[in-house]
Amino acid sequence: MSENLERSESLDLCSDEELLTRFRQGQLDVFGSLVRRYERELYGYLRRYLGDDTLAEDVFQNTFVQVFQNIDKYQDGKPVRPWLYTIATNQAIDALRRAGRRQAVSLDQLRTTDANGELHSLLELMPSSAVDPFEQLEQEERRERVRASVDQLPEHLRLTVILAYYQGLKYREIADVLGIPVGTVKSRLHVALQKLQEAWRAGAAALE
Amino acid sequence: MEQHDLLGYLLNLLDDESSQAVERELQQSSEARRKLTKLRRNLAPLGYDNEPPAPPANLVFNTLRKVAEAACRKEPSRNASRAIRKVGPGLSSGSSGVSGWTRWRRMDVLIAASIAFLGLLMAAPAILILRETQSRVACANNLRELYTGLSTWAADHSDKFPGPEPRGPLARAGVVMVRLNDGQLLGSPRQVNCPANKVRNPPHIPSAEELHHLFEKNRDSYHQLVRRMGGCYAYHLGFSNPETKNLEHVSFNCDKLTPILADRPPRSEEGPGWNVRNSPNHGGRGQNVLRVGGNVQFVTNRCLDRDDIYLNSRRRCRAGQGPNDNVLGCSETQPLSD
Repeated sequence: MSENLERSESLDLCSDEELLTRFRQGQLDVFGSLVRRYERELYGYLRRYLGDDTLAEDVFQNTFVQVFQNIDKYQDGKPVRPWLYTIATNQAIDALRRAGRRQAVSLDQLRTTDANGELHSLLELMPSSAVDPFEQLEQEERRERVRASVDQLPEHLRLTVILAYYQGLKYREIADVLGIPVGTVKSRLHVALQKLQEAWRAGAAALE
Repeated sequence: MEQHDLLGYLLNLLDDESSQAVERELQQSSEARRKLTKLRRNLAPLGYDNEPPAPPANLVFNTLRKVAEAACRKEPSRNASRAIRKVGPGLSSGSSGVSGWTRWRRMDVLIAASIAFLGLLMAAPAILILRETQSRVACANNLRELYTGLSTWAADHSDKFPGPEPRGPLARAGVVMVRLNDGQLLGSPRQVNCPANKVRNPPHIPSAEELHHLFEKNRDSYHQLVRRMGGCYAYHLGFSNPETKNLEHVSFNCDKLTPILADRPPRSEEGPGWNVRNSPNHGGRGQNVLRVGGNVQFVTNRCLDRDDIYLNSRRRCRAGQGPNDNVLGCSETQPLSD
């Protein structure tokens, strides 16, 4: 038992790249460590992108089935994180194709009505310091509306925003994951933010 | 300066070299700073959806089960024999090929192999889960002990908890430990290390006087020391008073749920995603957070009430922009920008 504990501790200190190298060399149990290490991050990414719990779980599982089956294609020392994201993204795109494209989010979702039936826009949703049930409710509404505005972006822009803003990947890594030049990532992100601004402004104009 | 450089800088999308170039430009150009401020304001709404969706229970187990089933379906002979040989040698008839199975139907063999294979895949995670649980509890107890020192210090300093000064040699988050040590309120230097981290030797915790001396005489040693003195934890950097613009520290009068100390966040040099990942102390699963009221909670993401406890509202590891913007920084973190 203590030997196992020491071994799992040493796995904890291993980089992702070392884990995959050890797995390729036949150390099967490190695979579980890799899955556990990426459980939150990759599931969070897939859940944001796919917008569905069950689909995200399914794609997460398929991603690691693919990793397991294609381990021979992994080149020793190559960064694991973008590689995993690439597999997950491809799996997610396939899943979306199979499930039929997710429904586009209506522009109306950028506006919402409160208990008095009044419309509110995203630009109204600036932070306030109070922490009470009403404030929490407002925060929840803000979150939903921001998510809706990201969801209505065209797929290639949405993916870029999620990878850049929410997953914290670098320009270079996003380019690797999506298989596009770095310059395209930059322009996509720029366009995505312009569109978000437009959507948020449209939400505000609806009130006038 | 291009817009995408500023955007990359703001969201940490640049490599180190490009990021430093942007920082130099920002120091020299007020136009660049103005653009950055505008960009930050434009991006602010995205921050409302910062909290990552939590994975379902048993995701790891279900994933490994699927991997095991797929592996044994694809290469039954190789994987089945490998797994059964390791886990249950008695199941095998002695032959490694599927054609050699005599007492078992093929389906029985596949099921048995999948279960055995799953056992192999799960071995490390199962032990990890056990160990993580133990270390979380030990870490929480450690933080509670530290709270005793922190609250005693606060009681002697107008109810204010210790924190870094705005400028000078004591403008580092880890100064909290210097204060406790100088006031003989630290049980042992080992307490600055999270028990989850198997760091054998406790760091040297300098006195305030020593920090002053090194700051003047040997800046390299100073930088090394301030990085280590706060150990594995992160400390409240204080916040900028909206009226006076002075750096202020958390007090007993604050909301009792205000975080004052936690497992440290990832450092930028620890790889991509450092600004969104959980503390490395507990395998990235989450962090223990000590609150003003003295309770400790293990939280599985960095956001408490939508507030990232490791970044301020401008998404920087610097002091908060107001009393509700709580930021905890690694030992060497400065509360204000240079």
